[in-house]
Amino acid sequence: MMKKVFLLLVALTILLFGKNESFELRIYNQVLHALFPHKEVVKVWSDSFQKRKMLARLHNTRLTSDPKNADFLLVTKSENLNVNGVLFVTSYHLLKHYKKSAIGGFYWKKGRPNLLFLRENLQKRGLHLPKSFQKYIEDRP
Amino acid sequence: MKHLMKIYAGFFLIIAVAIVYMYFSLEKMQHELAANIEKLFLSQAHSYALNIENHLKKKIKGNFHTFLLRHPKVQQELSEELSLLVTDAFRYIFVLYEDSSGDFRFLLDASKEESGEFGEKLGVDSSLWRHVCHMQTPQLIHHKNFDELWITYVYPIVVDGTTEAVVAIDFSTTFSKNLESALSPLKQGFLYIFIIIFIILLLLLYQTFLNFKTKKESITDTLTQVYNRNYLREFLKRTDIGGYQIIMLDIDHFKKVNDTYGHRIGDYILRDVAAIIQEEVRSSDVLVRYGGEEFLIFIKNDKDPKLARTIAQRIRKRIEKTTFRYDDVEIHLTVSMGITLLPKHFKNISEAIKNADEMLYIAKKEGRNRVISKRVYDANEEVVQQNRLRINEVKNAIEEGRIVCHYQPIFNAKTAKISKYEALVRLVDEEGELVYPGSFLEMILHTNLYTQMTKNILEIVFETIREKRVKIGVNLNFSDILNDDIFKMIIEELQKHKKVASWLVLELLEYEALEANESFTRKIKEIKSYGVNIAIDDFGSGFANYKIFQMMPIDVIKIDGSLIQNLDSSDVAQTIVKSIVVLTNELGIETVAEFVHSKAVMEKAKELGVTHLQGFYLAKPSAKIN
Repeated sequence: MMKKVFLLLVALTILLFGKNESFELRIYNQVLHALFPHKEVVKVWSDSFQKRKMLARLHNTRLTSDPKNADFLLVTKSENLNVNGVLFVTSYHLLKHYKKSAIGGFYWKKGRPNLLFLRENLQKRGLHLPKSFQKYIEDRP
Repeated sequence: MKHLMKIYAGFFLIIAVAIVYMYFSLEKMQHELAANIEKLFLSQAHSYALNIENHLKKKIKGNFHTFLLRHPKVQQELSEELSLLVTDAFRYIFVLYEDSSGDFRFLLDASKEESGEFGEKLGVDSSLWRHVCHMQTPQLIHHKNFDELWITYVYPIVVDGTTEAVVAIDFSTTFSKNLESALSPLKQGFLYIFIIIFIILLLLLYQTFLNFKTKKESITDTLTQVYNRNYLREFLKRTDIGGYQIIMLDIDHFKKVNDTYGHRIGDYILRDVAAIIQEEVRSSDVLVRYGGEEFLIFIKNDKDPKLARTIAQRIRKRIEKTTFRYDDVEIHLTVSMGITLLPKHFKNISEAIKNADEMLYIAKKEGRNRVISKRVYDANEEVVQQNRLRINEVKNAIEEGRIVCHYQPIFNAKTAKISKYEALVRLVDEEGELVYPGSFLEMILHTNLYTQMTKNILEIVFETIREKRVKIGVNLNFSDILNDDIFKMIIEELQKHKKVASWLVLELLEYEALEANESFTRKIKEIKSYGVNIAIDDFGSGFANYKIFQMMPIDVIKIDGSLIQNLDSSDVAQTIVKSIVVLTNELGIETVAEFVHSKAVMEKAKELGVTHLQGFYLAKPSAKIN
């Protein structure tokens, strides 16, 4: 009995400290489903080890080491990337940096999750998001 | 052992409850502390929001968004001013406005890190924020889903009835986490103490269990799994045996079983018989293997005096009906049992067990397969079907009013009508059965109990005379008349109820050696003076002293039963009775023939001139006088 209570406390502690991460994982899962509804496996790439680790936990993804080969690129740094895949960023600052190519971004601001898509870039790539995502589409960053 | 278990359980429960109580008290304290601090922060945040509102209203003219869009410098100045308010407790302070599509965007941000740009959209729970804007009342928003935020105070800035902006003050989770981490060791401490105590108690319980097991083994018979003599010793030490009846049980011809089928089968029999007994007794009863094939059963009993006998008969019948099968062998058994129904009447418990053993011996002697709880004497012992009681039982009977009188009619030989009755004493035992005087009178003869009993009998007889108005004879010894208490009682009754005298007959037992005693003669004459009839009982046996006719004013002679019993066949008896009748006729004294048990005896007594007849042939003693 006491053992169970103890384990429950540990589990609660883990949950408490992992809220943001699990929330983020859920968001990426939904974004990938929205962007690639018919793709069984989405090839993903990121310039961050942490993000790669997180993306690897998603069911329908496969990590790739070659950005050119990736369907979805999660970018955390401002670099010059010459890629074909869908560019997604992790801060407002990067969204402005990649405003010509990134289709959107997910980032934390003031402790709150922010999801944003750029209409023009979505249109350029011929991507259509489901209705539930419409409220996140902006004309400019 | 049971008490020890209860103490352990109670101890464990108290500690567990105390620790759980402390744990939850701490939890409650933590919540109360958090709530109080929340209130404190809230009041501070409200004060900050008011200051910001006043400051912004002073600096900004017209629509906030339009003004700040046009005046980036003011925007920067205000942001810097706001940044002075940020502390560790206030994680973020910023000002948002609601755009035309209902989204919230930055107007000003006091934070240096993660700074929001003017017009940048912020992901907030729009419905709650819109509610603040539209209702124009501050609101506290709790965050449960995010790591960094605890609560946000949202304050609307209203100018001319329009919500121009909302001030947001975020409290960080730092404080609640600090509080949690500060109290956590304490809570964990309680938890560990609880676990340690729990383990210690488990060990104690295990130790107790081992002790209990060892103890149980030492008091249990390994073969039959019932208690052994070790237990019996302890049981007798701590138990008031008065609350129990004792059965001693023995398996009949068990030696033959052992000799015929071997000890292995004998052991099976013992085991199975013990199991049957155990099934037939109640959990409150105690079964002990007393010796080889002997069992002692203590039947807990406060109410039903026949309970032990009922249970014993049940066991006897069950074993009689059972077929004991082992391998290919079928064995039928019987058991004999002796019972001590009232152990409290014995000097000690050993005597009570010894009595049960004696009863068992009688049961075996009388043919086995039976239950004996009373001693039954044969004719040679002159007590037929009567039970010998112990002095305590007689004492209890007197104290509890269980002394009664039965009345046997005495008939007039000529008219064949009842002319009077003889009162005969009986004792009702604890089981409600009648006990005859042969079982108790002799043992109390020279004790105070005898006087007490005589007085009781006289009281009963006086009352019956007063009620029924019939002549009743009551047996007294010569010594009873000499006893001042009894004599005084008789005289008082005669003085009080003068009519009683003419209905009363004192039957003095002749067997007591009569010595010339002035006191006795004076007393008997005094009684006689009230009109009481004086009779001499059992005349012709013992010391038939003719001097008695000179000493006392005798009205009736009751001829001894031993003469009457053989009256139809014994010439000697006839001659003696004839001479007694001649004598009494001369003296004008009535005669009563006792023990008339047949028609022939009755006819002979009549023929010899006996005036009154008494005996089973004519009428048996009865509790009631019709």
